[in-house]
Amino acid sequence: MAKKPFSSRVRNAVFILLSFLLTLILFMISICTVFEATLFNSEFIFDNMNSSNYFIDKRDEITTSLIDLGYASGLDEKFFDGFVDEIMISDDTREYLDNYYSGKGAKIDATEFKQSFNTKLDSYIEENNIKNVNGNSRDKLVNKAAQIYRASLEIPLFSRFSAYFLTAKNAMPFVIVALLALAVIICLVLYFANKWKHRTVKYICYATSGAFLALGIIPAYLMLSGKISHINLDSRALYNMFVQSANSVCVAVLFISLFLLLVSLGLYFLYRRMYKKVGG
Amino acid sequence: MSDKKRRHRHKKNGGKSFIILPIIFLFGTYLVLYLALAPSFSTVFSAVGLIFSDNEKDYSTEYENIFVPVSENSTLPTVTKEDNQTYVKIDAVEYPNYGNQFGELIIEDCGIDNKLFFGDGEVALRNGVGIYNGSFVPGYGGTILVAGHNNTYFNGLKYAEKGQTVVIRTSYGNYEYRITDTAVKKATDRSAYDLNADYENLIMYTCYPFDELGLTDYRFFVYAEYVSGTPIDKSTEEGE
Repeated sequence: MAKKPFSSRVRNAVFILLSFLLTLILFMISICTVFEATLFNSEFIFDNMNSSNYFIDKRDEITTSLIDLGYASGLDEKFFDGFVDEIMISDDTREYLDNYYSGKGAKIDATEFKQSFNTKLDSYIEENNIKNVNGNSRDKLVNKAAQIYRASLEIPLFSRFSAYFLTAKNAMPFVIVALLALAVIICLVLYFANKWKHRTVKYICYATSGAFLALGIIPAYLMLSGKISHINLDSRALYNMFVQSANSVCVAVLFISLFLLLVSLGLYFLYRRMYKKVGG
Repeated sequence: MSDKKRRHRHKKNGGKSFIILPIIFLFGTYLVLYLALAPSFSTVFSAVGLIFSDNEKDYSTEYENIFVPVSENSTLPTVTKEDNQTYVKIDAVEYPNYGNQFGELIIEDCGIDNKLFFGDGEVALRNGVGIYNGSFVPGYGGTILVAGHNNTYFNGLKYAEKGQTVVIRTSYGNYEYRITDTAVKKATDRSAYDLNADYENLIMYTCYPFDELGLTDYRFFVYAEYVSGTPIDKSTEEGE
């Protein structure tokens, strides 16, 4: 059996290395694209909130917390009947997300909430003929209620990581373009450096297959282990929204992974055909 | 080597490499990621450990009730020590977890007959009164600090007077206390209670003034001294 010449083996090793580099780049492009379409997209978060009943669950949670506040401050449970509705929560959340994603900060504007609370409190005092009202205690009650409302609508860690988040979000399209350019360059190098074009197809096929495996293993592990549903969040609404969003992200990664598998299979059959043509 | 043979060998090796190389690339990708992210791995794993738990979180607002009343003539496993004092055996005491109802608090003269919880969280105060979890359970020989809302379960505290009897019933014994004093203090006044006291005493508190609308700055404290009830034998815990 004739041994391959040394130069041929070195060339092969270099092409395999380029192939591996292409795997890494395809893997990163896929992850970045998923991030761009999900985490860095306020619509994605908002859609998941809608489909996971986030606003209704949040309404119930806020009402329960306000009723507890009522127990501590002399307000009847009935005071909070229908006080907080999902439309109000949805509007304020929308504004919160829009501000956050546009870099205006992560603050909930509870002005409207405070006004409604004060108006309802005036009616309550009048209807129940309550005399024992202290201005300071009343202010504290209103502020505490607004604080509960704000804290309930805030998404944990959003404000803490806002600087990193916005930097990453703004840089992401450029990163994707740069990675795509790199991928194209590697493909061109593989194309022009190989006399036999079926070999180019072979090396690209290695890369897409590798990217398919590297990418598919993440959602497969997360979905099969059930790890996502073990997240520890105080709010049930947030938990449902998180689990739904995380599953959607996993499905998106899985889809890209399957797409890469299809590309790999296509390239493999193309390679076989080209190889037969060259060999035959 | 004939052309046919060479093609056959090439075909065979090429087939294998389409499986082996992607697998090597898979491990290679994660090796590169590991090397790139290694410096922040411990932080990330610690954070993940905090965020994720072994089981799914239970969002039920129901509380666990471990309270089984001790009847007057029933006998609890006790031990008599050198000081001739009888103690409840530690094995007979089921310590409550945070949020458990583990007893009842009764002040007949004030019209108070409430469920007693361990912990003074929202669920506890929604359903009764709760012992601050940084204080002690009855029988343990320390300060028992009990909170309740002034408009609901502790509204009757406004009738509290010196000499009245407070009864705490738990699954491991019934304890009696006598009110010694009442006081109105600022909510921020740390001198209103001593959690390091080495004797059994009961402190109950609620917001003040009673029946006022809003969140108040003051608290109404009711102090009570220990009268009777079998203390818990702590010797096993203390390694004596």
